[in-house]
Amino acid sequence: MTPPLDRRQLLAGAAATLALQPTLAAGPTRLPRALRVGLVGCGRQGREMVTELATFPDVELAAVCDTDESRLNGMRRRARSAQRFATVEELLEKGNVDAVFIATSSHQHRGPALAALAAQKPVYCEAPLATDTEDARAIAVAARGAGVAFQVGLLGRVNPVYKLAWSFVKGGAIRDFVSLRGQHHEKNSWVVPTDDGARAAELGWRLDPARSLGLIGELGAHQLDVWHWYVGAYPTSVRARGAVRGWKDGRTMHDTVQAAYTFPDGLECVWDGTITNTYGGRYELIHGTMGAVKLAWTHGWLFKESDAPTQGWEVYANRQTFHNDEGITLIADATKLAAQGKLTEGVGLPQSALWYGIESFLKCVTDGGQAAVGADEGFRNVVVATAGAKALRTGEAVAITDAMLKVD
Amino acid sequence: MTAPNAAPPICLALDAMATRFELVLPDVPADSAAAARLRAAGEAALEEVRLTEERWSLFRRDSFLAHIMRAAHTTPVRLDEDDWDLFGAAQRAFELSGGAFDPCLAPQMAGAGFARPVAIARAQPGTFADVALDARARTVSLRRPGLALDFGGVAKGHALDRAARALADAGVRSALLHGGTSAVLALGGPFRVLLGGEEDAPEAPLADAVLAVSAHHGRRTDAGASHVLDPRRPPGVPDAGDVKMSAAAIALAYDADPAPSALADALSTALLVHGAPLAPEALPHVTQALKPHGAPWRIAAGPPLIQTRALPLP
Repeated sequence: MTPPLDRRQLLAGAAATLALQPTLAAGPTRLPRALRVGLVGCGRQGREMVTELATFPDVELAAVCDTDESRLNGMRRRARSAQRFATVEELLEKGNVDAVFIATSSHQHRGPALAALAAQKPVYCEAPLATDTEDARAIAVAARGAGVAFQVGLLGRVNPVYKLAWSFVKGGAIRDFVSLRGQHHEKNSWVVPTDDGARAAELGWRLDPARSLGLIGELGAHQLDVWHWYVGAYPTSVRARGAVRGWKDGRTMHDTVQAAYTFPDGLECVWDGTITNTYGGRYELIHGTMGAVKLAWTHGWLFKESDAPTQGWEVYANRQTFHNDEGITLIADATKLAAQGKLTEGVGLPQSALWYGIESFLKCVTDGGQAAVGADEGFRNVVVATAGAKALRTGEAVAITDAMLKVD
Repeated sequence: MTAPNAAPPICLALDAMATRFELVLPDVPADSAAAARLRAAGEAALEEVRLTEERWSLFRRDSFLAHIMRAAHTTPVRLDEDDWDLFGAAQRAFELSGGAFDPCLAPQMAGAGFARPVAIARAQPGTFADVALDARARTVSLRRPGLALDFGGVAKGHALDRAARALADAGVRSALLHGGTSAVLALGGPFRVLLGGEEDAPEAPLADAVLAVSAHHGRRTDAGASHVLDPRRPPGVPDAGDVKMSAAAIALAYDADPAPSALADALSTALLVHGAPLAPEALPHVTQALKPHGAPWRIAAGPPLIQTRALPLP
């Protein structure tokens, strides 16, 4: 017979009535059937995908491809049994794969995405979906008519901590939006370490304004999507400014950027990105009249105003102090963990944000159903990021109209 | 990389694995673009350190190590070649030392008063013999649930090995990097590395070689217990290693092993615990040095990769 819950357990359990219940299984995630998958793009992001794919026992990375021979050969250490191909066409023809992961340079997503969709292969494509709206639109149109799953790797929407925080925000925990803020700070020159000029030009695309959305697109795309999701709307205009503050090596791409997006009711969202300083890392802040939510990918916190209503379960919640503020730690699967007396062991996600993106896609492939983030959403994300990059380039405010956000 | 000039070396650093990694690139080209590419190679190397921390941290729920501890007692977990090298180094050190090195010590560490990371809050005692490696399938399995793996300094060595590979892939031929000063790796060289600050401190003129040092004074509990425990010691029996030796060092050529820094770190811990040379017939390419309490360093076995005026141990 199950023992009766005591008051502490009852109150701790009540926390979960506000929460979604994502699956945070203790063991490996099993799929209803085995999958052979292919990877297009063996650079930094491709390597991270290989790492995460290896944790799914039912997934075999059967084929990889990259036009850069060195990167392709480097995959021997990551996935030694995978067949290696120089082109996506070869991979699709000879790789015998059930689904395709695309991790090429952002400006090169269109070719492999259209090829994979034409071959009727489900596609997971890294974000941003493209670096211009024309490519993004072409991918979105192809995905609509393909009849197979297409998921964009915008990782906020698949992240259990972000889903939990979203449920709190939608439940009125912070009441009305006051402002949105976020940053992505890292220290990295983005220079490619090779003496081969042609290869350096090819792989150094992130510093080329003609091929890259710069910091707003490469660092900010995921965060912009988080705000679209939380606010339930897209911004109507953007202003931006930037400078080369640290890497004074002749580059024209700004290494430090601030962008201010305005949402329909005047709500302002300020994003701050740099590749010259690591302080604070990457996070999003959502301020409301009754509290604030801070999200930092594997962790999240709710900061309540003193005059916000108090829920009984808060007495037993896990908390963390940030200088003068105390945040309630947002813990996914709180009910189950609290019932097991393991609430503090649930702080922080047990998998990376990328893992949850891959997991949701794999389940979409094996079980059917809608992709967590479809190509249309990826297209709109590119429209918003592209407007930010244009505002940065021109120094003028750029409008984002409803017409711009329509795929067709 | 292009020809060097007399420019000051490029020095990069990263705080990771609860310590500081530093990288020195001495051969800086005169051409500023080439110098920027050399620096970028250093950034790529430190990125490998960061990824190693993400992958093997005992303090992160989302690390690959945490995944192994959660999943590998029910399903074999696939390893890539880097992971395989790390496990291989741990296994070689475990076997060559007769268990004096064992990365499954976390419960005993917690029992000695060290913090127990949340990832192994419910760890059960066990040994590396409970870890099964399948060379053909490149998988790891844990023979019992709750087994805690803590690679500690070996993971730092592993980070150095990955960083060195990134440097070599970028064409860098000369670099010195260390993780918290307990493990040092030299590409090219020679670089002068001293074991301690004393006047008679031995010198390791490292050239394409690695050096790892373990010492009881490196980390202790408030009660004075050393972080270097003897895994073979029954509970309650005093630690003989802490009584006999205060520090141990291992040096070997960079190309002597697939995971030279990881192996050196593991062996230095084992040597300190063991207090006497480890299987010298099986490790002819490895320099083993020991520092008894209150006495100078002595070469215990192996080639003269470490230079000391002291006599070999009897």
